[in-house]
Amino acid sequence: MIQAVYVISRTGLPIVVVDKGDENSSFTDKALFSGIMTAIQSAMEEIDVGVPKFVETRKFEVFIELTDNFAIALLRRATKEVERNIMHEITAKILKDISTKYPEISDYNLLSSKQIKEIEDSIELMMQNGDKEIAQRKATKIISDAFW
Amino acid sequence: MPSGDLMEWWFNKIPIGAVILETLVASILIVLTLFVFKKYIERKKKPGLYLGLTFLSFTLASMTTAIGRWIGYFSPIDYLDLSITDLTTLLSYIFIAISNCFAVIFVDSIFFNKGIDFTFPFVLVNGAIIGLLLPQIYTWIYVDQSFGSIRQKSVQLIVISLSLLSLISYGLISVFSFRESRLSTEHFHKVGFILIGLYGIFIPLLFLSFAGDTLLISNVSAFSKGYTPFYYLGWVFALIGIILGYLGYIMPKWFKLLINKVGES
Repeated sequence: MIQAVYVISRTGLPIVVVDKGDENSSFTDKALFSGIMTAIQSAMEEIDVGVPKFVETRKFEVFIELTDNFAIALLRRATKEVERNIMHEITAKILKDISTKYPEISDYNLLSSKQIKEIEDSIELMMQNGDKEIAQRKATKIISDAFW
Repeated sequence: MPSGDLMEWWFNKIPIGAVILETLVASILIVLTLFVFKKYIERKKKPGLYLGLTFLSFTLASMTTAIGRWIGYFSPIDYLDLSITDLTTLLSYIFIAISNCFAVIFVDSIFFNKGIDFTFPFVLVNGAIIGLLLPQIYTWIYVDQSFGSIRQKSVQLIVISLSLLSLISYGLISVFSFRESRLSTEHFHKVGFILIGLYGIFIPLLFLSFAGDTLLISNVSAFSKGYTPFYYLGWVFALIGIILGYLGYIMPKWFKLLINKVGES
């Protein structure tokens, strides 16, 4: 199951967070996570190894997609290898959707609570669809990779 | 040999049609198994290995019975007195039980990914079937080689259980492949899963036909010498199933082109 989706500004602040796993997580936790993700990205960019698209911890896997203004970080509990490509695709889809609907999102362009609600609803819907899509496409992908 | 004896001898021969049919199925299965292992070597994906092992066990079962028919056909001893085919049939059941285990492991690797928790009960029951077959083989080797050892009630029960297990193992492939074909949005994937689903229907039909064959031989005197219509029907189901399996799993280039062409039109 997709645990959470973070919309993070390029300066490291959480713009919108939809967290299904821990709805009581404090803003500090969210800010800390967003900051760490941004720090990792910046550090890797700085030393010229390229921006990471995937970070793995013992508990979670984080799939990352970026635009010039913001980043999407999708959290999922340890995923089976076969599902990773699908997760990358879903993360990219969320990024594309938000960047199309809200091209001006950034630290400098604060969103209204109505807009934040819209983004949250849209992300929640995409998280649900993402979980459904994984269930649907896993077998097809395994068979395709192994035989077709 | 007096003409009456000659007639009797000829009547008691294994039908050449059975020998040819089984050899044909075994030969096609060998080719298909090689294709599946070739895919595994190319792609290095575990489901390919599991399917390869499923086909390998199934091929060994088919080869064992085919070899038994050839030996029985050319043997100067009446097959009712020395039934090599009974022994090879019992041996083939062991390979079928092994094939069932790999079929379930294959299904798990595609649809469930639950590992040992899911596969263990199936492996255990198939292992029990193998355990029940071993004393029957022992009896054939050391006690009685005449035709009929596989018609005993105890063996009938084992064959019916094995058929049901095969039905469940391959039925899982079938049910989940058809479900997947409904969920797939691409024509190519849909066709692939439908073919795999049909393969999962036709292969257990072979085992069910054999169960029917065993029951008919045991209970209808007209078929007491074997080779009932169920026997031939079973191998025909197997042939159809193998062809569907080849198209569904291997998907040769010409077939992919054909699917795409039909999908576009």
